[in-house]
Amino acid sequence: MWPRPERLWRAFGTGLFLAIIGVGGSFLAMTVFPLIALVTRDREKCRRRIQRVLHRSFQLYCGSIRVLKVADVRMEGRERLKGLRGAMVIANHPSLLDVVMIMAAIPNIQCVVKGGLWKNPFFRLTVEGAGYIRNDLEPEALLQACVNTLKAGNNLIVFPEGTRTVRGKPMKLHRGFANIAILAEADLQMIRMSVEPPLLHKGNPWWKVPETRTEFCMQVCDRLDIGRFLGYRFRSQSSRRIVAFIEDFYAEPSHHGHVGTGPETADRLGAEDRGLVA
Amino acid sequence: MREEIFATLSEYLQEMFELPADKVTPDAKLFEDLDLDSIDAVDLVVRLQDLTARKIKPDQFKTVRTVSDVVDRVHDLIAE
Repeated sequence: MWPRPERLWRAFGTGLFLAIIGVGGSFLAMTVFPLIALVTRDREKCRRRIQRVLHRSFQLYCGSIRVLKVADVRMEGRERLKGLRGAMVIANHPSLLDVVMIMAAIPNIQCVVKGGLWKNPFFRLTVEGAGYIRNDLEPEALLQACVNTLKAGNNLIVFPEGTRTVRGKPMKLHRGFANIAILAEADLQMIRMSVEPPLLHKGNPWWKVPETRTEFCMQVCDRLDIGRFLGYRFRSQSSRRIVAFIEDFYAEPSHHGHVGTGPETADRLGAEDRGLVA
Repeated sequence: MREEIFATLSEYLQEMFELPADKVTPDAKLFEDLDLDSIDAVDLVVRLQDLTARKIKPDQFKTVRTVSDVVDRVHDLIAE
């Protein structure tokens, strides 16, 4: 039996929106952003403009997915994001849409992106122009870049798992994010992402969409005051407390979905096999 | 001498990284077995300066992997 037209539409739409990420991103990188860079001499102003265009584009992207009924895209607790400044935004990472949804919801947000993007002059202009941090810096430099941007009042999105969440498995966190938050004395804005039923999960081609329409939900949870984790004799004690707390938090009932290929996230710190001191 | 250094180091590791005493063996690998990260390592080196009573350059510990490697390094530094 043939699938219902509604389901066929969702399959088509899923492929379409996957393609838009690449095509739309390249289009902006080759037209709008060079233009902004050309007419904006001031670096800081340029950064804000590029960020604003990205922010709006992501909003449009999420809105289109919803309006065209390819998937439901929903946010809970939006009011909690008001006045968010200099905070580390942490989230589980079930899908490719996580970054897009978070960046559509928070205007002044920075992220850590693949260093490989710097090889392409257009993408380089975009990510560098937006002030994003490259993930192939030396661990110490990466840490410092993250701390600096937080201290400057920007928010920073970090996926503490360092990779996508695997459905049904508890999160195993790296400690790098906690060290950054401690050194920057940045509050932690927790976000819980869910994808139900799963779409584009591993071993499943994009056109095999589930029976019912998928819902992407971004739940804005508590903002943790970093102060409650400071004040130990050693920083290492603080970072272990933070990691334990966050692991517990995300271990509670949640719907860990798993979608497509996501951009690699920062947090290589502590994950590397190296000598005692790099 | 080495036993004393090991005892003190073990105490540091237990205190700073909240490790149970039985996990801190001479063969334990700092990163894999004791779950230290690179920033932990820097903090530990700073602390070890109490023992050596002299400044340690981080690259003097570049090749260190296990607890006994640290003991050897500190021993060498004190003997110098």
